[in-house]
Amino acid sequence: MTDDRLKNLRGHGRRDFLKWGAAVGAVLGLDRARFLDALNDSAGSAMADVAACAGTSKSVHLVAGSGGIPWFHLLWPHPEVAMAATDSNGFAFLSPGRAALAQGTDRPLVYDPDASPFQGGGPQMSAFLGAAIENVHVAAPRNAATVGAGTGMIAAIAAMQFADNPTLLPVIGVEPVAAAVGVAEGTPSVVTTSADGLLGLFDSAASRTLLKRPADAALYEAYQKAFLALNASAGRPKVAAAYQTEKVAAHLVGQNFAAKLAPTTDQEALYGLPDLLANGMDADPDHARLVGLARQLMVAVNAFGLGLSSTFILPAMNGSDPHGAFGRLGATRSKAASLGKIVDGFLAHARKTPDPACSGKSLGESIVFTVHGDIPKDPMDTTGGQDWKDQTPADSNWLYVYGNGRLKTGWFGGIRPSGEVSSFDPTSGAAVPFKKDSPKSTTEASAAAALYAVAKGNTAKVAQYYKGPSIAGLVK
Amino acid sequence: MDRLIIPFTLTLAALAGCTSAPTRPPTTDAPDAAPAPSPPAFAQDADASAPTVTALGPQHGCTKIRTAALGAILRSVGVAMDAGVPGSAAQLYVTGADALGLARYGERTREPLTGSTAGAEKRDDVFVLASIEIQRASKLGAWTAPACPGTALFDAAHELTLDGASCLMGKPARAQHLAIAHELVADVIAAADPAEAPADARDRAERIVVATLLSAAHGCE
Repeated sequence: MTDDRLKNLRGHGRRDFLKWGAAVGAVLGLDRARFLDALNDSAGSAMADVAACAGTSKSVHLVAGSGGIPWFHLLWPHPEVAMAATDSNGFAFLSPGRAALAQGTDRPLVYDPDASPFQGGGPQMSAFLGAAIENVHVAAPRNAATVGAGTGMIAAIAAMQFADNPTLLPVIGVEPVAAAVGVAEGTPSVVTTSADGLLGLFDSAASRTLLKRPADAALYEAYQKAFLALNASAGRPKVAAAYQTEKVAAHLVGQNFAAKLAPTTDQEALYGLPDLLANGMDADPDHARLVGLARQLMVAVNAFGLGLSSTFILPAMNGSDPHGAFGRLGATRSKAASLGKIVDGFLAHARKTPDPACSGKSLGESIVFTVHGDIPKDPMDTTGGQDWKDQTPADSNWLYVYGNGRLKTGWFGGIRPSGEVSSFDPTSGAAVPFKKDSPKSTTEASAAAALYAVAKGNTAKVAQYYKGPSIAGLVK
Repeated sequence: MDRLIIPFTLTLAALAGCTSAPTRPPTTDAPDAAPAPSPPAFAQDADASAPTVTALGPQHGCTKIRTAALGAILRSVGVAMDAGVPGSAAQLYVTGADALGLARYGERTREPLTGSTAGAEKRDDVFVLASIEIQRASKLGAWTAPACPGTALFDAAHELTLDGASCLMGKPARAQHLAIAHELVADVIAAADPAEAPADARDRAERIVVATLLSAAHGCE
């Protein structure tokens, strides 16, 4: 029966009660569902709903290394460059004269009407010019994804998620970009896999042979734990984490999630794959990259929906390096449009998928994604389609973040048609001159904004990893 | 708030009391699921005869079995390491090398010291396939484990032998291991489909015994 005194708790008392209740539940070994049941009975469904939502979002990190990042500039170009693009000035924008200013963003953001995602509304992208390009093309760049000295943005995000709401495979990194994760205190192990092996993580041979019957899988798990308990080291604090891993593995080996995680026909349609596949993949390796990205994003959302994972690090157009893209305008427009549709499909898929960490909500409300790369190419120099030059003005680099309503949107800093480069003041959000040799503070502030979005606005969580100036100018 | 938390504590405590027994994955929604067998009650019993282990120096954690060592273990318990056989443990061991954490020198990635969940799952998966081969060979009297030549895995009464268990585990087995193994066999047979031939259910039970022993014994270095 609901206790009205608990039901009507407000402010600090309400938050303290939730924290205390969750802690006691954990100490007593109650699983989360039973704790929430008890909370629902004692303090009402509203309180249970608040407690049921994880304090961190799921995240996907698209790593466009080895020259892949310029593809995303075609979706979210530097606004002034896109606006100034003509058919003849060689600027890197695919729809000269048709650039459309996004409405409702905090800073300028421009769409390519034929390619950019999110033109139908909803949360928009934030783009931060702050980092330096990598010295050479690299598959797993980190320059634009660093939140502190030696602390990786993705690693810090994974650590926050793991501390808040542990999942079976907390971080899954698809090669060759998994190393972009970096390091941070508290980061769980990164499960790495080839693109082809992604589904294999969730598809054991045992579940198709000896442990095919659920009763046998359950017995295997129970008795494996029984044998584990007989080991001389069992119970020692030093091995507790490893034994927990063993127990989770014993559970997973009897399960077969592959069928639930595999992309469905409906999902492929949502991401625009039928058109892409109809174009033929053999002729152009970029088609295979696009199809691979779409399918990995589908698996990621499906895995989030089952509560199996919290972070995916995925290659996005990695290795494409489109130097000659503006010499093949038809094909480039088609690929950019496909990429935009994949990003739109990803969010649409998330919005259709219930969030297992927040009852009654969809994943679309608690998903954050970032895009970064190594060398984004010069937005004003495609040399008549002959060669989209690598070097950016002032060797600048940038980070895209989909903050899902928690960040101010549009471009912070940017490149002007004159070649002038500006960065930003994280505290005010205002443009400031880009310092070529010391982009550290803005790089870290950009990454901190991504952490803030994942932490659902909890600045205390961000402060564990970010020690720079206030980012009040970047966040909502 | 203090006055409010006491009754809620009691509620949680009561619930915790209901869930203190080991839990198992739900099985009743599957069409062929049998009632969940009771957990082995003696699983946590300490062996009074076992010597007490006292750490004299720093206690090491549970470092992962290196991939090469896993191959050596498989070989030592009589698994044929021909990766060309489809569906074999050897094939899965080779194709699952990335998940198992094998070093990738080209990418400057060393083999990790601590195991990942995916790695542990893949290793367990390999052990499950190995258990099928081991039990099949044992049943035919053809099991030859280089680590313990001449050892019988199961006796004439189909019971796991102490030497056989020790061979699989790579260390001396205790009475508890055999007792748990016997209970596991009984549980698998009891949960079998009534239409299944008893011999088939026993084979499956013996394989699960082998797989669980291998997995539990070879989780850490």
